[in-house]
Amino acid sequence: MAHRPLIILLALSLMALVALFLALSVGSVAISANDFLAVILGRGDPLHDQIITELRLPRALGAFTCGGLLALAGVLMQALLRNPLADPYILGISGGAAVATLIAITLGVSGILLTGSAVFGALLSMMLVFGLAHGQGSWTPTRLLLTGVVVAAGWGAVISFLLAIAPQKNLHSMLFWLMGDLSYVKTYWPGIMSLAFGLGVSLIISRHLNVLLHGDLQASALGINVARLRISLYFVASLLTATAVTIAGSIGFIGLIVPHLLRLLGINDHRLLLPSAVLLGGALLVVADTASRVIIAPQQLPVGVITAMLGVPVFLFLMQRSGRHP
Amino acid sequence: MTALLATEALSVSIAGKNVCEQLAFSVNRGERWGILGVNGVGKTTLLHTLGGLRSPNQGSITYRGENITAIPAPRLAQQRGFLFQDFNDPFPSTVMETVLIGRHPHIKSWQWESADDVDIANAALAEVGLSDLAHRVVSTLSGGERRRLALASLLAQQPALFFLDEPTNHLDLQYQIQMMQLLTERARREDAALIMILHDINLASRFCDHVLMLFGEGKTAAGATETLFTESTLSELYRYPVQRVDSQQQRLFIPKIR
Repeated sequence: MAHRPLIILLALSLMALVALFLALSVGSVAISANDFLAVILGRGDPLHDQIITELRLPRALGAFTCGGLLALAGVLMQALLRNPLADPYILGISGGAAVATLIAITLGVSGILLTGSAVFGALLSMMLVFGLAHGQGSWTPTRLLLTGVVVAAGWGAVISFLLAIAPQKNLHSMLFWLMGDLSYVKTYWPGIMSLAFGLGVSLIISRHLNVLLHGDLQASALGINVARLRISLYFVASLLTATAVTIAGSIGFIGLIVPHLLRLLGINDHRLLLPSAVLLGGALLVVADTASRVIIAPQQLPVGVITAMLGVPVFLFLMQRSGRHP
Repeated sequence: MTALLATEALSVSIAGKNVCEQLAFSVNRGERWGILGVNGVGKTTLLHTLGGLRSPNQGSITYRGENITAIPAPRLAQQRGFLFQDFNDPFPSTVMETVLIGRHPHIKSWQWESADDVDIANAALAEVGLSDLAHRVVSTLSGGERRRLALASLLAQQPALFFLDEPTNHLDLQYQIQMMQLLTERARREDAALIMILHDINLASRFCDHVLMLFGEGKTAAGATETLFTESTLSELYRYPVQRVDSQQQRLFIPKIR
């Protein structure tokens, strides 16, 4: 019993490593385990070496980071809003990023400026929702949720408008961005760093989160400054989401499903749930991204399609089997 | 001996309605206080104020002579605990995990629960008779079992001051008496004090040695149950004629048939 958390984390880490190995070896040029080992030892075929280190590794690590960020943000959003249906995008952060990016694509912007506009849009939406929900009076989960959902709906309308007036040549890249796309990942360090930062901060407050799930009154009766905890949660979760969105657009399902998958497996304690979510979210997105580039190769599918196709049946199966509400 | 809790010139109001005005009373170790009054008179508001969950409009509350505003929240949580009226949990957690929540104020943020904490939690579960359900998921419990679980969490918190909002809510007669006896025993053994909102006059009469009555519009009365429990005071309190009936071992108060 005492070793259970360790076993779970080891199993999930192993899973993540297998997923990464898969992502590095599978593709239009298949690389066998032996060749793969040779590359790692620095004695590999130069072509294999180039494919792995320059093409597949950044993408695989980008996918892992992005999945980890989304799953972590999902757990935090669900605790912040005390709502099992919350996902990282529920408060409109991805909507704001999407609107800014689509406008940038329409204006013909590309490269680093595109990332910049996604960051700008995400931060704008974050401050907008925070300001509006804070307003006067109390900052309750319900008020925050309603504000976020309404702002997200507003962004949704602007996105539809931008798609409707977009010239044909831009439409494809716009749709790809909206459904999530990992093919533009070049550098992965900023993502990994914000993931490490986010996980570190949330692990410090993880036992507080366990208490917060039992309600605001109970949490303050047990000595927690609920208002301060909520504000920190809001900013950490939002920044993690914003980072994920700028890496790969909005990839659905990971942030909603991963926390629940783990809860269905009986992992409720945030001290275990948070790191587990990072590992499982990362592994799932790596697998989904690998699938997205091989299923109809040489064409690529938006990875969001795969996460939904994998996530929905697995989730429904586990929920049926466990027979209790998520 | 300084009182566990004392108020001075305490005025509390909610939504323009006065709950109490210039209230001064003190709670000593081992005392069991009942807060009584009609629906909507502000019993819960007052309970939350006394426990430091909201600020009073005027006046002061002291715990062992120390002003409550000067006590940091985590230390306050080691001194007083709450049993709330209802609790809902949208997320799954096991009975054991829920009881251990009560240990939160006693554990530093970087620490995990120690073997001692687990022992305390197990003892609390045993006290409320839920030991067999330790690994069950809370959502599979009945209303009464959840109520006892909430109490176990509070027992594990080990406060000196228990604030209880309708502790017998959702409980059958047998468990109502059991819970009151358990709390009474706990207060006696640990020299703790109970402050509880009760709706049942006869439970209050039997288990509270002191009462705080809220008549509405800020009018209050605090004192020994013995002296305050009269037909006329209770009739005024509940705005309905109450009749005293003496049976062999106890006095009962019942609503008069008009």
